[in-house]
Amino acid sequence: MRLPVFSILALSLLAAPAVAQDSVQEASAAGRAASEVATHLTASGVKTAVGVSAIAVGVVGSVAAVGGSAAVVGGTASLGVADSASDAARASGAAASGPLKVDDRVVVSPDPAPQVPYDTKPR
Amino acid sequence: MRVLAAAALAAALACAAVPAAAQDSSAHVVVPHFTAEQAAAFSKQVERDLAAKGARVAMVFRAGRGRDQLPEGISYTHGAFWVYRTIRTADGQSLSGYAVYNLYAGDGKAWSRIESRLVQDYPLDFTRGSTVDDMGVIIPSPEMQRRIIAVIDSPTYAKVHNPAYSLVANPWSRKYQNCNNFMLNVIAAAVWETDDPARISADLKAHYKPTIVKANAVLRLFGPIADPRLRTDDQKGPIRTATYESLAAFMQENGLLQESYIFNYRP
Repeated sequence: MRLPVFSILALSLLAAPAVAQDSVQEASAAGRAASEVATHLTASGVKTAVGVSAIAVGVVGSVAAVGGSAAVVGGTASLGVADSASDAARASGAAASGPLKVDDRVVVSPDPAPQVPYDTKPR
Repeated sequence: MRVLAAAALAAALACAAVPAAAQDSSAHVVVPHFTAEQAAAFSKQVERDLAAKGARVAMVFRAGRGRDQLPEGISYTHGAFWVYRTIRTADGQSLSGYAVYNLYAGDGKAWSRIESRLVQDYPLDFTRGSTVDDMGVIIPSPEMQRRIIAVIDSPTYAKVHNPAYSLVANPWSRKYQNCNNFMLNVIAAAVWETDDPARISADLKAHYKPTIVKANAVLRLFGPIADPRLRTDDQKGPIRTATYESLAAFMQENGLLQESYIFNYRP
């Protein structure tokens, strides 16, 4: 009967390192807020910019959606992407063609980071 | 007898602690492996590598735990979509680069550790959470890139998200989800052109081979005590989850892949 009590105690002790590791990470000196990091990087000569929003490249008008009942392919599931891409996908403006340009500036998240995952429409 | 039982339990737990690190999508994890300058340089290196390959979207993976703490066959603990975007900045300018689309579990402060949210941040946030000098990269085929971005930019992206979080969520079940399972669901939505989570789960069960995490019955029994995120009641038989390795294999085997590779930090 004493074994379960002992077991729980042992579990608590053994589980501690995994939890403590997360805490250590968050409490580390490197865990400063993004704004502090931006200040630090700038002082070190790294060009930074605070990102406000990320929008689709080359999108004109509203963003089309894949999915929804109209786009569901009926019947037995098959795997593989058909040669004829959906119009909706094409409308996303994602034409993978050739090298892309990346700015030198390092983008830093605002505090707090935005929680809207698809704020992509042009403004 | 009691000593023997305790020793056996301790040994079992030592094994159980390893799978707990199989996935870790904790929000805003920062580890001291890189300085801020190194993390910034690493993030820009990955961005430029993706851009040189013409990748509009890639799946990038980091190790948030030391490799010696990861289960055999699992190299990374967190993955996210890196999407080529026009980024508006606080000073009113626009620049070109990648935005990162994550599923993050809570840290127990901002929100619950067993709940996830979809958060968009940037490559620097990603590399600051790495404990090693490399990232795993999956670049989908051009057609898949187009479809994945279309999903990300649509309500489907949120619809296939399940906020109930488990470190070792089973991709064949809808009960829990982690970062890699979420990415897998987005890919499935793009492949089968559906936003129906039930259909996605059924199709994944038919076509996707998850990574098997080595564990034992003690893990399943005592895991919730060790870490609340280690929920395994969605598993029947071996513990299955989605990883960089099994995602890359799935995409390779089904013609959905442009390339997958390991990108190493260049000091």
